Amino acid sequence: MMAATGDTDIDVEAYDDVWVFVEQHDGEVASVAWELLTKGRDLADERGEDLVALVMGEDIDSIPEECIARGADRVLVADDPVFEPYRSDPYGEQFRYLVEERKPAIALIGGTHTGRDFAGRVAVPNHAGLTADCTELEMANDRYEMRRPAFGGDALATIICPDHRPQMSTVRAGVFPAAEPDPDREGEVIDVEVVVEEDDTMTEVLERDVGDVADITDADVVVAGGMGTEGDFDPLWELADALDGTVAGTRDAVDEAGSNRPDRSAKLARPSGRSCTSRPVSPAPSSTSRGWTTARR
Amino acid sequence: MDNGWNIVVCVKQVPDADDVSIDPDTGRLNRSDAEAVLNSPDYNAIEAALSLREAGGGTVTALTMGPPTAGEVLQVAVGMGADDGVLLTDRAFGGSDTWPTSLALARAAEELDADVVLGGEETTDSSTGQVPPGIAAHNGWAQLTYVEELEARPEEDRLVARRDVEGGYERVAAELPVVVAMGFGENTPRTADLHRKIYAETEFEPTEWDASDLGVEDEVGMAASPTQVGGMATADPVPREQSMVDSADELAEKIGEVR
Ligand SMILES: Cc1cc2nc3c(=O)[nH]c(=O)nc-3n(C[C@H](O)[C@H](O)[C@H](O)COP(=O)(O)OP(=O)(O)OC[C@H]3O[C@@H](n4cnc5c(N)ncnc54)[C@H](O)[C@@H]3O)c2cc1C
Ligand SMILES: Nc1ncnc2c1ncn2[C@@H]1O[C@H](COP(=O)(O)O)[C@@H](O)[C@H]1O
Repeated sequence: MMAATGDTDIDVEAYDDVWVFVEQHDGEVASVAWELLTKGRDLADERGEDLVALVMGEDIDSIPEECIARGADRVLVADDPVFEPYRSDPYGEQFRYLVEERKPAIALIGGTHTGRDFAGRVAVPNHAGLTADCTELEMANDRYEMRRPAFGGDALATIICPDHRPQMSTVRAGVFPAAEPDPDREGEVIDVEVVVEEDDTMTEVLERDVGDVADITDADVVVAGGMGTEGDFDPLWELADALDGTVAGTRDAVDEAGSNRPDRSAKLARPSGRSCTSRPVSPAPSSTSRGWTTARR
Repeated sequence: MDNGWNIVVCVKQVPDADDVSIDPDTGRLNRSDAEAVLNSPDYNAIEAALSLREAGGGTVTALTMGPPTAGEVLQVAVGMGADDGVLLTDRAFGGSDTWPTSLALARAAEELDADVVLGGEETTDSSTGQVPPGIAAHNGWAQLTYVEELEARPEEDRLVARRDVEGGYERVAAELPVVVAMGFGENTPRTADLHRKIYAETEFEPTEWDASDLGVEDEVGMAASPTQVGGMATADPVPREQSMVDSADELAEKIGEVR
């Protein structure tokens, strides 16, 4: 709606390629990264650009090859102990450097807690545009258009980023499908210079405990209960069994189910902020993951 | 830190989520009917700020950017126990996306000599969750998002947080100053004390700063915002039907039909 602001020194023509941030923890890639590589491949083809995967971590073995099999032309690898486990400050500084050096036009980041923590931080130093929770990404009207639900899902806003680069988006798991990997695809793996040192970091991960909680963003079917369950999750388990799904619930409901829950439902499920804020937008598949994050297994 | 931490809590005024509707004829948002309220996740941020002050002393200052009416959310925070409130208001801020919004809040936090800045996980209106990390990035400070619990370690000048991460949790220690985004519903916000509430609504006057007070007049508003809203469409409502079934299997079958 608004005309170009013209007050930036950014030469948008100097930026090209589509980047995907490949979130990994301890060698385990978040499934949304594969979904974004598939989506990014389509965008890159349409724009006549390359698809670039960005992997940060320590001793990253087979991930770059898998990124290529899943569509990347190039994989930038920043391999250093400073990147394991994830922390926003070293990741952010490394990303700022890579963007400055290589000038991507578009960057896609999974809308996980880690991805949103990362995206919010890295968009600022590059003065990049960052659009949250996109459910549609497309080239239209000669520009890149990002669409996202707004006002609790009653509206779908089109967000554009005319004068700044990169054009960044976060996308929730399950919004776009992941294509099957093609082991015959070819691509290039590049070890990039690591510009962060442990001494410069401001944070320290004291403890990390993952694994006993099923990540419901990975589940195809979630049967969720709220306060209406009045502490009885059994019918939910019955339905989940019939549908081959996972059970989740709001925090209060799960707390109430507390002591009388059967063994396997010692599965805490927690709502995130979305639960109060957003209703699902049809037909966005992201609605499955909005409001419910994890179910303890 | 002898006198405790300078704690700043960011609060945003939003249209009441239950009140925002779309006019089915015009396809426009009926935003004006909606009552303006404090963003609900920000109650958790205020509670966390007040608990930190109880643990280690110091002061809690509520901070908001918005039109003059946004002063109301500062009253809510002061009523709950915040010591003071700052309102960033200036037409120049209008049309700001998360980049300039977090810049203005970051400069104000610096001005307030903040040790800890707290905010909510996200807002109920545009729900980006990008403002707290943006504040941290503008100031080059540490950040902790999706926080479940905080533990002050003033002797180390650090704040330790338990963060919710996919599949579990982590505990992270951050050097001060640090920006915290509290997870929604992670604590139980206290209710305002009646006397304090009366004070907040009758006597309390927030400090007001405009863009030039913060030295950001050329870096805020629409012109400094990398993203722009290029259009808005109403989402088609999902057709809904209801019927009663007797067993989980029957329900599963019905769900199978529409999946
Ligand atoms: C339909 C629509 C879509 C939009 N999409 C985007 C987008 O994708 N990207 C983008 O950059 N901008 C976007 N914006 C602009 C964005 O809404 C504003 O910048 C907004 O004021 C701040 O973002 P938020 O509400 O998402 O804050 P969040 O980042 O969700 O807020 C998190 C916390 O930060 C604090 N906080 C946020 N705003 C304030 C404030 N004004 N004063 C005090 N504390 C505050 C609160 O503690 C809050 O709980 C959009 C606007 C509209 C109308
Ligand atoms: N007069 C104003 N003073 C301060 N902030 C404002 C003002 N008008 C709008 N804003 C803020 O600017 C951002 C964008 O709002 P809008 O202009 O309504 O899109 C929101 O965070 C508003 O609260």
